[in-house]
Amino acid sequence: MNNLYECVVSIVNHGFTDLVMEASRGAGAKGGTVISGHGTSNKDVTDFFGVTITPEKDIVLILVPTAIRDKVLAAINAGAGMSTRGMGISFSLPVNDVVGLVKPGEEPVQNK
Amino acid sequence: MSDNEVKKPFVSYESTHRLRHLLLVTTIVPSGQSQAIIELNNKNEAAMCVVSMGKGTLPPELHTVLMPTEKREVIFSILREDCWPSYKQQLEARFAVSKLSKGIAYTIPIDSVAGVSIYKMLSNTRLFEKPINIEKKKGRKQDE
Repeated sequence: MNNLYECVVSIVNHGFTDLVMEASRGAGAKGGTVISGHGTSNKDVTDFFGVTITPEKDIVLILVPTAIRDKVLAAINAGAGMSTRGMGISFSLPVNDVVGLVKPGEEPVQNK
Repeated sequence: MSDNEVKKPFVSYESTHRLRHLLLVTTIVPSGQSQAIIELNNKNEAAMCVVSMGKGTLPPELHTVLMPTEKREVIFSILREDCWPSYKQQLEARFAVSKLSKGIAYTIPIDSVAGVSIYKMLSNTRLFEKPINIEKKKGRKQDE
């Protein structure tokens, strides 16, 4: 399947969505949407590694052209990955079709 | 089970029925628009919709041009692939009405579903999907 767009999903600690957006904008993404979530990490794992995992999470959904997907994922991993305070994990999902995106050079809809 | 009872051989659902692909449709609209989108989904045979409150990350200077508010509603719904074109058309018409009704939507293909009954529920095919008798079809071809 040859998809034009991919949906990049980043799950970060609550309040660190700015890190994700700064990193992804630097890699060419335009904007995203943030929804709230709640982490359910395994207690044994957190005890073993000696880290506290904030249960409140933010999920950032970013629609990006497939051509820049890897660049965006790498930038998010560097800017908001596990080694940062955001402790984010990111992955991308294939997108079959898109409606409502304003393409570069295209006029946005005028308010009637 | 007694020994006299004969075990029926397992027949997979996909060998007797035509499978329809499912899509996870994500629709992102400004706050207050979700009810209209849910109605649109129901009209297009969506089995379920989940609405989540969210916020946009656009820089403030672009809000006036693209979307009037930072608050968003994200609607996740599951549609059959054949229902998507009409839903897309209706969405495009809705998004073009005014700046207040603008939004984006995209589809993510669903690879697998846990259980036949869940598939039937999600694909909304419980009532009209009938099994195809593959053996009969084979017999007919041989007669011809």
